[in-house]
Amino acid sequence: MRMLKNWVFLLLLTLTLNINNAAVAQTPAAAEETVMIEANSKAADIEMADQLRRDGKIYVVVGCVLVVLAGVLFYLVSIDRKVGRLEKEYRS
Amino acid sequence: MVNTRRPADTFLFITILNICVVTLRQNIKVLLREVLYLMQKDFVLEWRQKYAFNGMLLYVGSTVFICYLSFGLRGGTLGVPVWNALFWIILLFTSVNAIAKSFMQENKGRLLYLYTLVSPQGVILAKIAYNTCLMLVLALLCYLFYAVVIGNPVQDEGMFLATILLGAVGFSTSLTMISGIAAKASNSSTLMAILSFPVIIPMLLMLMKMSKNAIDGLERAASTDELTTLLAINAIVITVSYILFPYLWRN
Amino acid sequence: MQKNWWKVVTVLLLVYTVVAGFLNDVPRLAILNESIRNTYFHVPMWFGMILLLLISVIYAIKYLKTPTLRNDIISTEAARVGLLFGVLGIITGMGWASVTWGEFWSNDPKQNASAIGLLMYFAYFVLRGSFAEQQQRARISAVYNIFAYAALIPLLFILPRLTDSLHPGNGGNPGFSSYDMDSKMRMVFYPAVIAWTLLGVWILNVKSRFEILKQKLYEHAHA
Repeated sequence: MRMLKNWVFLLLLTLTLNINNAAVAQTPAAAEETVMIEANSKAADIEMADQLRRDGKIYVVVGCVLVVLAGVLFYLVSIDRKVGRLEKEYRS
Repeated sequence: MVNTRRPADTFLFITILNICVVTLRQNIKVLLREVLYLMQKDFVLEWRQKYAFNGMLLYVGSTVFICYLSFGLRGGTLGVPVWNALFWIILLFTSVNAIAKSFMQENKGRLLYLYTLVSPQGVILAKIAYNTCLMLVLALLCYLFYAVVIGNPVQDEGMFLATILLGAVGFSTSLTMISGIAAKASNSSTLMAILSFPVIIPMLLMLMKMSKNAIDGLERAASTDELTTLLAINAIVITVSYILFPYLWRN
Repeated sequence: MQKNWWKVVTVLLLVYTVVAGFLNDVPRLAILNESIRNTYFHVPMWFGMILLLLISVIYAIKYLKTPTLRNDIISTEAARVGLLFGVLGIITGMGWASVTWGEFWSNDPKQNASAIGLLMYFAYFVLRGSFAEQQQRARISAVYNIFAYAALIPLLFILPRLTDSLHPGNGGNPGFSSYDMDSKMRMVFYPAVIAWTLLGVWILNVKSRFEILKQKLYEHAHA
């Protein structure tokens, strides 16, 4: 019981840390936002990968990443199922 | 940074309050007596084994002298940032070496004896207090020697001494717990360095900034942020050590 | 299958993150240009790391209260997966930094803080490696785990705010409001954070189940 209380105190300790920081940070954040909005409005001529999009080649990139992701996830799922099977085997 | 001061103060207040409460729930009188008794024991031991303390002094002296020789070769004086960094690095290595032995030198029999007599909270608090005293003496002597040999650019002496005080407390609190952890393992001296540096670095950064301010003689209000942060880190480390040490001690 | 619904959610969210992350509109900002999309892939690494390390600490505390093998294994594996996310975060961060800030390592307080944090958890594994006896290893590394996490918090939350950082919200809040995100970006960013974090939890789930099984089999073989 005493230990539990100790942990609660520790939690409070760290929480106060965060709350204080949140309080500290209010003003600069707001200032930042206005700067960003200004930057956005006059940023139409900044170079982006528009050509890549117009060519449709971006879909190649997306497809490629998706294939990699699918492969990795498939591998993870298969390990997951293998461990599951082993667990079942162990229990019986 | 002006708007940061008020929340930092409230935070400090809450932290201190927390520590008071944690401490008060123990039977404070018994705890205090234990701490005093254990500290006395440590001082007596230190007095009997003077060579260990002398060894530390010699370590500080040689390091400072080596720095003097290696930087003074060209006859030029050190810049303020280098002076500052060098000072804290010397102090860091001295404290790691000095505090590393605080649990390793205890033999098994004495630990077992202590285990039956006192509470683990008493042990860790006594060790922290004792190491703080040790570090204060070492740090002050180090500063003295360093200032004499390499030169003293410090403009705000009072603030610099306060920084040293905070540094001594901070180093001893975090390193005492680490040395307790490292002493349990087999290759404890390497482990001590590995485990302690990441924990110490934030403290060291704050200390360096504060002492830089003191050296440049800035107004003291400029260091308030660092001061409160340091105090807060110390408070957290002491509380965590106080809570965790019983688990380390039980064997 | 019923209790595995969250894994399906993970897959769907990850696919959504990749597709929407590459295809949706983003604000046109100087210097960042298209690399702003990294927000969906680099930043969630840190969220994942923090969460996994939090899980690690919680299980370390649980271990100190009730010392079971399971608590120890989950605590260790969470630290390990968290470390993986941290390393990925720092590598992706360095790549991004070299393009936008001009250097791989620009002495940014957040970069430094994350590097120190990683050092701390590498030290944790060195500490674990130096004990032969299982119970002692588990107990003492749990103590260090909690101690390190308590020391890490001021590092991650205070230091970057006290000094100027190149990260968004420099010298102030690293929180969301200051990110140069519009509502369209948030539509991808929040799912991305959830997706990557869930992926970490999934890996943790599989790894800890595997380790627990392994330990049980060893005990069985020895008994």
